[in-house]
Amino acid sequence: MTHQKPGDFGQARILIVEDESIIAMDIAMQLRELGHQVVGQASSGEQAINLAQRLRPDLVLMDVQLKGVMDGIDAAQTIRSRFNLPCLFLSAFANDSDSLTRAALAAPVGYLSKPFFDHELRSVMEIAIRQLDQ
Amino acid sequence: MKTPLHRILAIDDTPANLLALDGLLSNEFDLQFATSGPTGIALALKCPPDLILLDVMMPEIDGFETFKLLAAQPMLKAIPVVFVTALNDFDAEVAGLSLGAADFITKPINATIARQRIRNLIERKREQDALQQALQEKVALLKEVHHRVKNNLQVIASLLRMEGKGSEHSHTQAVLNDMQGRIRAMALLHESIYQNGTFAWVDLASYLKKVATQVFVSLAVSPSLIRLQLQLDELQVSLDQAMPCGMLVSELISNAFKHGFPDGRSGEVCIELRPLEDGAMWQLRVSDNGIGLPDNFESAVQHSLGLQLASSLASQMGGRLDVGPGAAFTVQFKVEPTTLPT
Repeated sequence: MTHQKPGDFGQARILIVEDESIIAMDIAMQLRELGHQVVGQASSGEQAINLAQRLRPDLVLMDVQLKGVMDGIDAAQTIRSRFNLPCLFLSAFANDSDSLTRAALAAPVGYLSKPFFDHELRSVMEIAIRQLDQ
Repeated sequence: MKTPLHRILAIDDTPANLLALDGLLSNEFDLQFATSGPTGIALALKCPPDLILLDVMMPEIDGFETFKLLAAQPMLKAIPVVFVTALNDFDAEVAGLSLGAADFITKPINATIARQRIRNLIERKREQDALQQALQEKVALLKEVHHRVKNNLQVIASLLRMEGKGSEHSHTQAVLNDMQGRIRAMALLHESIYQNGTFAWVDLASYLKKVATQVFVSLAVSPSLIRLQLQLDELQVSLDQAMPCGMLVSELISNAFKHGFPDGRSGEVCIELRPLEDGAMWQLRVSDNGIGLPDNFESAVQHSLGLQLASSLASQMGGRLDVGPGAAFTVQFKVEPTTLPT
């Protein structure tokens, strides 16, 4: 955890990685409503790694299917191993055992399946934040 | 440009036999030779042939053993293997075919027949590979389509949510929330399809359970006040019936939660799915023990899109929505065959 420890209400500094801008905007709005601070948004794995290094968020909310050379799982693994930062995955593949197995290797603090609705993001975030506090 | 010759690996411990094969086949095929099973396998791994000619009678590791070793190699197991045996060795022929050999050629080899058999086998293998590749492409396409459907549903849900939050009118917010609920019911159906791994049918009970639970949670119903009672018998239905059924349940229970229990009233909402006596017909019933339907229910339907939808969804399922007694909605429907149209 960085200089800014999550507060009493489990607030965290979050980096959103999602290449669909409308979804990214919606997530940012929801996270702010939950009292979190959105410190940055990235739309590719490479950009996510750069921002994670620079901003040192408490948590990275990562879309698994990113366009480009690197997908969300690759980026999460790098972010985890280089900066020791946890990721929470967001994915539109429900039952794809290949990506689930790979995703597990990045030791995510949560997994959210698209499309998700308000209460799902809220509860997954709560569980993730509780893990950060430990 | 000349197409490269098909490559054949011949394995035989007798060099004279290999020489004979070379004479018979080399004008049409690119031949490689090995004088034992293990050296043949090593050669095949380095440079996979299109077909393997395998002598049955070899010292130490015979043709059958070699075949088993080949079959254990993931890279090589798909290559057709043709055994070469002495004429009239029926036992060997049976043993080889039961192991999974592609064909047999008997000695002395008739060049014309051998060449034609090899051509046929290589052609069959080529067709099989093409099919396999086409199948892999379809699987990838299906995965991509599924991903896009779910991602697009997410974009729609996100738009509705943001519009709802931006609106100052409670009515607009309510409408946009209802719309998110309907999209959720559709999204869950997609989820179910992919969990089954089939488009042919949906496990209706588990789908309805998910729909009901989602509505319950998303409307922030207090579990200490209102209980969700599910009595759902196992039933497999087609996608065509599952979709309206899920949306119908979503409409009816949203309605029950929203209107049935004002002012902190407690009670339960019950969903029942069961077969009727004759077994051909099934019944879906959504009821609650809240305040009951308003006296002007008939005219209220005219102003509620949800209830009008419920009625059309019931007829899409092949049934009719019956109201009452009390706050109960019933659809009786015939289960359609769940096989895919060809």
